[in-house]
Amino acid sequence: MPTLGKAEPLLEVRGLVKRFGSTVALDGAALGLAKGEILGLVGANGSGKSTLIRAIAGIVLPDRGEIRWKGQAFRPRDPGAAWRAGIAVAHQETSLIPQLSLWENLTLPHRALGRPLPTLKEIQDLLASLGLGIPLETPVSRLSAAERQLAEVAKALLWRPELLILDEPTAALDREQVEALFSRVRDFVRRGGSCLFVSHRLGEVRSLCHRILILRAGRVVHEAEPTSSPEELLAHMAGRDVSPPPRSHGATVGGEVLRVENLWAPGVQGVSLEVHRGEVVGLGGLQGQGQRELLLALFGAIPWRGRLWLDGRPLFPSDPSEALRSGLALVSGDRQEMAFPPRSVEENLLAAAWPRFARWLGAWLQLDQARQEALNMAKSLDLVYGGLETPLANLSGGNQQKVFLGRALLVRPKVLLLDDPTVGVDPPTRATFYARVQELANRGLGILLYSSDEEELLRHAQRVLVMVRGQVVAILEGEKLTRERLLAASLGVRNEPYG
Amino acid sequence: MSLMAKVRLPYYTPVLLLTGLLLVLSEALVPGFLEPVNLSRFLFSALPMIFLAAGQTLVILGGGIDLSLGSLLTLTSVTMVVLFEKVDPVIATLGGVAAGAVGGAINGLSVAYLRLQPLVATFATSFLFGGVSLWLLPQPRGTVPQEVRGLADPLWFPLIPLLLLFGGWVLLRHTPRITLLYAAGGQARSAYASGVQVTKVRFGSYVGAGLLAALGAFFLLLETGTGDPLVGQPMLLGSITAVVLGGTRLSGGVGGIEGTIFGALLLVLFRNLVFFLGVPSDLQVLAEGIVVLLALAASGYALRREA
Repeated sequence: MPTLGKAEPLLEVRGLVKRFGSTVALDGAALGLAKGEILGLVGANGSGKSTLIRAIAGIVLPDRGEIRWKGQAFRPRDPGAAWRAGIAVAHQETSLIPQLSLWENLTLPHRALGRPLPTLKEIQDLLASLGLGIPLETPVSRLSAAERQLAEVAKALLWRPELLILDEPTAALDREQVEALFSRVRDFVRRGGSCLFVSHRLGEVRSLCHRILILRAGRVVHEAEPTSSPEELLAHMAGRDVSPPPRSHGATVGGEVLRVENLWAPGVQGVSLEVHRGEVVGLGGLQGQGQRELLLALFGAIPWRGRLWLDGRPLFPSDPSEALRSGLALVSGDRQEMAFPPRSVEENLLAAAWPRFARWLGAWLQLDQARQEALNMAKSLDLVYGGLETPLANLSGGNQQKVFLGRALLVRPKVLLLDDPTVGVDPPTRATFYARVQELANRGLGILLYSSDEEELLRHAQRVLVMVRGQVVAILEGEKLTRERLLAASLGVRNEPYG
Repeated sequence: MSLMAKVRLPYYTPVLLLTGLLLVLSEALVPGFLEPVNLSRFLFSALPMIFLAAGQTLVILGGGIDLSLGSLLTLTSVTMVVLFEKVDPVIATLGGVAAGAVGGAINGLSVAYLRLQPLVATFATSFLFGGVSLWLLPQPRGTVPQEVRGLADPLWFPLIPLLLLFGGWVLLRHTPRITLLYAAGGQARSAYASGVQVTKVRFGSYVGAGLLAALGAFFLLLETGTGDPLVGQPMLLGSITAVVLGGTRLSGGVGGIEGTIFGALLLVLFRNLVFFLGVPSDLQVLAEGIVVLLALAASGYALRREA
């Protein structure tokens, strides 16, 4: 192992701050990476890992702070500047263009930045070393998820960078592919390269990296040795110093209202669950493990198969309007999906509820009553707004979320599906949003809540189903519902290959 | 070289076959169609549409669309006609081409730099270009100098621009940089993360389209011999049809000018055929509409099968 941390670092980050609206993604993050080092970076959902990488890669511009590259201030204006400097990133979501061939994709940075194209031999050797035996003219759209991920790494390596940044490169890979990738990365470092390795898989981070940094709430909170136990890393990721939040329920849980058996949908692999009246059931896990898809399937928005009962009656929602009629309503945190921005608060509130106010086959609408209910709803939601006629776009994000909650409630659902409903909403508004959700549970609604913020699940759910790759891998409740256990189950610490 | 190991049919094979089929059909229905004189005349008449559609292809490949291209063709042709009266024909032609570049740059600025919706921005500039055309030349008039029109006298003349366009594009397709256009149109965000300057690429696609529209205007002038301030606008939808027929996807990132050339030939051939068959003029539009619908359905079907 090379001597680390003594010499001038290759990459140094100091006091990096980045906000998106009211969300603080980076809050003074700092790190140093020496030449010849493989530095691991771990952190829970929303700890700022992606933003940190994107700042180094020139994709987002930090609000404050400094990045130094080879001892010089480094402010990449665009991703091209980072590539030129010798920093190549393999992105988690991949930066491949599906319509182009593998060959065109692998050489895209060369083409964009005017470097001579690498020889076919060089590319084929590289692909072979990663165990990727695909003809170069294949369009990337035909590649599997694992092949794409490896191709993304190959694209970065082909650039012959000085610093290779790997963001969650192993999510879709099997054990052998991970081995091949790691030996390639070690080889790259042996030849003078350096690597920043970002992953949720603690076992992999410990086996590959020379040093591990833990990111929490936008800053680096701890530096660990690769010999540290997963429990120690988890403790720092979860932040043990913060006392566990009080759980604010105690409502009497009634009979079963929603029952799901063996539900399959794109990204969901055989999930069974039940929700009782007055219960908030949480869906946990890392982002993108099928939680959204599960909710969308229940709402009839994506195709699914399996068995479903609402209030003891079988149900087959094939589109959202049917789900709404049966008593299932969805609130999504993705405002693009919910909002009619130029329309009034009133119209946004009532958008789904009109069938309730229709008489004479819809020839007559009870407008006065609808308006009265919308007004009452706005009041009960503590909506901060300029009146029912105000365009929705004039409301803050948090208040818009409340409007969508109101829209779902005006349908008078039996079960409320919440899909990460408070993304990007400021804490006080979050609190009132969840207070209202708790009230609804107390009144006997069944609530299924997915949140990318573990805090919210711990605070508001009685029971949390942890999902990994479309399956429920753990059910936590009562004493077992702790931050550490939630994180451990999300990361699959017990059964991961290198744990 | 392993890249060449497998012979794969080019993406424009269907349109190529269809064009061949329609050529044979034309000869069967209109004997003598394939004689050199008639074939040359047909190709000549198709040149403006081919170049206009080639310009449209650049924009669509880059993920945009250009509704102003018909008006830009008008503007460039009117510019040429007005200049023919005053200056040397070569300079007049170059002036028209420059007008095409400027028009394209205005589109490019609005879409790539000001980030306006391509559909809206180019719809707006189509009135700008149309208006300037009418201002320059309120009524059809003007003549193209005889020495310029004489260029087109040899029977083989239409082959020259056709081969230059086809060959030029094939050469361009083999340069590393053209991939950037496909990348920007395929998935702009990923292209950006890979170092592609998406804004510049988009801007360039609109300027290129303006230049090709200007060439289309030049060939139209050679054919008609006079200026007309409303000549290009009706060609716009045809240019988009030709792009789609040629196998380029409206969503961007897939296709090319080779296909568009055959798409435009197919379109003009079809129009000729319908005309020769004596179909009433209102039904000609109907027939064309059916063809476009079928072409769109076919490409949509192919897309779904691929996914």
